[in-house]
Amino acid sequence: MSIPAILISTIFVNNYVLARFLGICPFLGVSNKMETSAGMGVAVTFVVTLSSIITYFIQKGILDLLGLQYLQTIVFILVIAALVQFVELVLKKISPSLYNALGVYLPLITTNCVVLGVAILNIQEGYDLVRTIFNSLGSSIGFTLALILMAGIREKLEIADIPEVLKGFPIALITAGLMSIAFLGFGGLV
Amino acid sequence: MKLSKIFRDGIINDNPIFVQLIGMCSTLAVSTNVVNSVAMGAAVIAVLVGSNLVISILRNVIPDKIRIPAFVVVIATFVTIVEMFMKAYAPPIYEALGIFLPLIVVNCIILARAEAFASKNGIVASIVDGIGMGIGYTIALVVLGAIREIFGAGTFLGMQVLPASYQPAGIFIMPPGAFILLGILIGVFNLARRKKSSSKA
Amino acid sequence: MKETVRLGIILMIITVVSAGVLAISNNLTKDRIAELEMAGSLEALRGIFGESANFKPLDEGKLAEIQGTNPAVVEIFEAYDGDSLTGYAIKHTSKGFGGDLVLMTGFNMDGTVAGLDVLEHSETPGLGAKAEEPEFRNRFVGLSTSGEITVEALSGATVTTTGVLAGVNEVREVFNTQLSN
Repeated sequence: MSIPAILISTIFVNNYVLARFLGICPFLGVSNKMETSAGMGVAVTFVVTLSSIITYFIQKGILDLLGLQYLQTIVFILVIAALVQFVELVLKKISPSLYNALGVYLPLITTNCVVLGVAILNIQEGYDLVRTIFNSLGSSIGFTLALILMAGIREKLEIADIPEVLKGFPIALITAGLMSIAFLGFGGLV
Repeated sequence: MKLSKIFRDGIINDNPIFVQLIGMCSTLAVSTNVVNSVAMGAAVIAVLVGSNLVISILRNVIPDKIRIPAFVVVIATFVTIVEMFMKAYAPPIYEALGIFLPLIVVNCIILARAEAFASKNGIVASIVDGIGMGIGYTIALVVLGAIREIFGAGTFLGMQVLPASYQPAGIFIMPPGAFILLGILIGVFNLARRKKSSSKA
Repeated sequence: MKETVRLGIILMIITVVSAGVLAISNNLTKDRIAELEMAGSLEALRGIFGESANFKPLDEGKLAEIQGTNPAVVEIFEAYDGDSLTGYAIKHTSKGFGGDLVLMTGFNMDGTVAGLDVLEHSETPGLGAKAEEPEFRNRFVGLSTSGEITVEALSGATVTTTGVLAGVNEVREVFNTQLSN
């Protein structure tokens, strides 16, 4: 796939949240406010891209060479966990203001399945380094887009008259379903 | 705590999907039909019981500071084993579950049970907790899978159940159907629980 | 400092034990997995060329040469009836509506399509996914490879049909120019 096709596909057509069901927990958990959604989106974009590059080199340079592909899951998740810790430490030292803005989201990212999902899918699809980077960027931008759109809708839902039993999670899921229908309209674009 | 209570909590009072609202990604993604739901449920039960057992055994050996990475390694090991055996003995199901099989590692249910239960309780209780939570997850998945398969394809377990004249509503099998249906099911579950608690009071 | 080392060692022991367990279970399952993968291709090949045919992978050097100009080609098999070469089967990818399609297209030496199999797809259930069914796949059997191959589109799945056709026509070129002579 060409690079523009990868970007359009991951942001719109196969949006990781609305079409592939990755990263649902943070999508529903932190999409209450516009501001926190944007913060989470930036943090995820950063970690996804960095971890995809690192796991790419680990896969090609170590696992494939030694025939240890079966250790993929365990190695990738450890790399991601360590990376998140490392980013947290570095941010704290270098840019306390950025740390204050993103810090709270960082620990949540380890268990965000977008990160591990993108890392594994990059390898499965056989992408080279450049495609890996753009696929990671596209998928996390798609995640951020879904998150921000959702936050915009949920801020309005707060004041809407919703049956008591549907408040919170259920109505958020139904909203996500409607957004997902809208995104189906992008189908066949690439 | 009585074992039967631990077991029941996992299925009803603390159902991971309908009450704790965790582990959503795989629930939405693989519940396109009953067979996939059952297979995913079985994989999660195997990982959950295995990791709960090992973590419960090691709970006094693993220092507090490194417990999370240690748990993750244990969980990832079980996930990979399940993945290998599914690939070898049930390849169609392995293909159908796809990326969501390795992603069991980051399924919040597993880590949450390791952290909240197995690291504080004995071996037998931890196994029972794993089975209870796993079955609770599986039931939610199967309910979702059954509704999606019946209305989305007109079949149940691959057999035609609705008359051939029924035009399957493909939307149930596609992503939007999963979101909307799960939202409604959680609402129904809330309603049922509320009725029950108000009749008690 | 001492504490950090101790923690590191404990974590390392856990990781090493895990890796050992995985190595054992990998050994237990890897032969069967390899067998199944071969069997998967074989089943598709037999579906196209009949139960009695034998198959051999194409010479690796030639395959690499073909893949150099046609990256969509994944694998090529030679089909034999007894000792005589009856055709080629090409496993290749093409773009569908929901993602990549993996197809196996067979060609007879007499210049007709022997058959088509859809090995993997992520098309819409009920529409594009119908490409998998024999009703659609059989539309290709017997068509001549001398000109562009076309078939009637699946209703509601034009993109899927176009994707399959584009893939089939690309490997038709490969067959015509690099294999049939």
